[in-house]
Amino acid sequence: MSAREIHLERIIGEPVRDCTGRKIGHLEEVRARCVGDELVVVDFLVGKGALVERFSMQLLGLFGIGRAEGLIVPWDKMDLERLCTHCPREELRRFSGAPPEAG
Amino acid sequence: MKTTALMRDVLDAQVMDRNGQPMGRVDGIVLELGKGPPRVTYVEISVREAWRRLGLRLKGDAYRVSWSRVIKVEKDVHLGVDADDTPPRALERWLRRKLG
Amino acid sequence: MKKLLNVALGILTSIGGFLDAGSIATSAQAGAEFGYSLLWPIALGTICVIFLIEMSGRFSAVSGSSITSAMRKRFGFPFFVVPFAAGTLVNLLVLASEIGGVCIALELVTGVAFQLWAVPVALALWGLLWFATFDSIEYGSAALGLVTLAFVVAVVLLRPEAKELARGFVPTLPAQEQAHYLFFVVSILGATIAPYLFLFYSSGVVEDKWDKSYLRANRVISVVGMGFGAMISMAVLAAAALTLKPLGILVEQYHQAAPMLVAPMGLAGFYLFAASLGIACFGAALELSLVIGYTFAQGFGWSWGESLEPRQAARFSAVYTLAIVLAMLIVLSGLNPLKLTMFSMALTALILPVSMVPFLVLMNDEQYLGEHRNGRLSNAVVLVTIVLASLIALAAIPLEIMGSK
Repeated sequence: MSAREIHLERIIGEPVRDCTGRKIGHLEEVRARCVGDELVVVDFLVGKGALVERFSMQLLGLFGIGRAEGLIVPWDKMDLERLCTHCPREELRRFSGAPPEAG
Repeated sequence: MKTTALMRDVLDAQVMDRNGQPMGRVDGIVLELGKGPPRVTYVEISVREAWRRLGLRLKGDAYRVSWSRVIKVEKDVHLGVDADDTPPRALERWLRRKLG
Repeated sequence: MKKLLNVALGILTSIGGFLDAGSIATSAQAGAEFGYSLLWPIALGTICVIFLIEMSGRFSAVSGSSITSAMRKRFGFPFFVVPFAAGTLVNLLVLASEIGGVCIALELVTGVAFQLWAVPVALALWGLLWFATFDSIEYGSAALGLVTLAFVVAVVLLRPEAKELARGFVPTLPAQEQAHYLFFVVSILGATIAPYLFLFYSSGVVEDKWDKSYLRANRVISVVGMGFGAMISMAVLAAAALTLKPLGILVEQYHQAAPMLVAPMGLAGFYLFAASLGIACFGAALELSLVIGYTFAQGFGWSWGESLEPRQAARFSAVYTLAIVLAMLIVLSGLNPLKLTMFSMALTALILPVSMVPFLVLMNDEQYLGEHRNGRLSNAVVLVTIVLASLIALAAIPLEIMGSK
């Protein structure tokens, strides 16, 4: 059985859609945890930024305006190969500012 | 349990070997998809992979290190390998031989 | 006690190292053409660079990383490539202009054409980097660089009118030649806010293993070192305003600026001018070569460090060697070194936002700096200055190119 491989650095920043086809943001971060000997993905953070948007948010952040915002997609709700979620946007947890601890 | 943010803490981080020698940077992270959660299987240390992120496909294979060889991830990613045995240091070794 | 020594050395290095081809060329021409009225960009640029040097020292002391390394890690390779490529290209041009400056200084003293000095100067540059220790290079060139204080002495001897001098610090647009004036504003800003200065400083902080206990020393060095260094730049401008402008001498080649020191000091002034030009440019060339090497090594994760023997950091050494060769070839091509300098200064100003904005973002990053993040003032000063520089450059450079045709 050949396992499917994904190169993370090639999909980071790419747009993510939900199961209805709506764009919900861009893949910003992948959080993982050690389980035994392995490093296993816990969830994905889908945020506002394409690179330019992210930068303008950060620039504004220099003056205390604007906050990071996004959605948390647990690993089992994400189709990494098609970059879409298995559920509608409304079922996903939102975060604002610093994202909460994983899992 | 401590979470590792792969983009923030691993990708593009400096890689150090077990002797504290710089080995390059993490240019790629390979996930294996299966029935359970995706697993991080390899980190790639390869300039080719870095350029590939810009859309340039260069010939050759990327140098991969199994995640099991990672000792710790702090400011840098520390591997339990000896850099001098690895491809990323090939150019460095070649140059050193030329310099005598 | 050791910190005090560090501070003293840091200040001396900053003063001795402040002047380079860019500041000499821009200040001399500015003074010759517009009198004192371009003192304010030097002041504005200096305030900005004081903040930037302090920031880069603080960043590297607290995080233990160099700026370039952090930029790669924080923003990722695809984004990093942009400031990396732009910065390297500009640094290469500036390196060529510094080597050109040394060659001109040698031409002044020996009468041998400057291109013929390109190879020996490049060789001397490379040889020092390859064989000498970091400390001896840094402190040696800093100590020798103090010869540039000759410009300050010259101004004192020339007795400027304090009130007229003061007026130069108020930004005003002249009635005529406005595009040309703005081009000078831009070039002066580019010469003063030179990114290579704080990339070098940041790498030095990492190599010297500074930690948080050095933060106050860092602040003192930035303010005093850069502040006094700027005075020398202003002295060049003032000396030019006092000696060249009344005679209508336009500085189109470096040697036309020599009267700045000859008028007040006679023959000694001539040799001091050549020495100042040569030493200042050589010191800057050393720094630039290292910075180009650092950018590659830190960006790609190689071994780096001037204190390492070339064998131990082979790729890093190879990069700065290649940079010196390329810069030497540019000088050999016979391009007027002064024009090359002015052009690379304007280019520096134009792309300032490309390297500075990511740096500013880094300076506000909690993960790297924690409680030592930037305050609003630091952010504001730097942001405003670089946006200003870039906008003016966008307008002034095309106009200057059109005007000089």
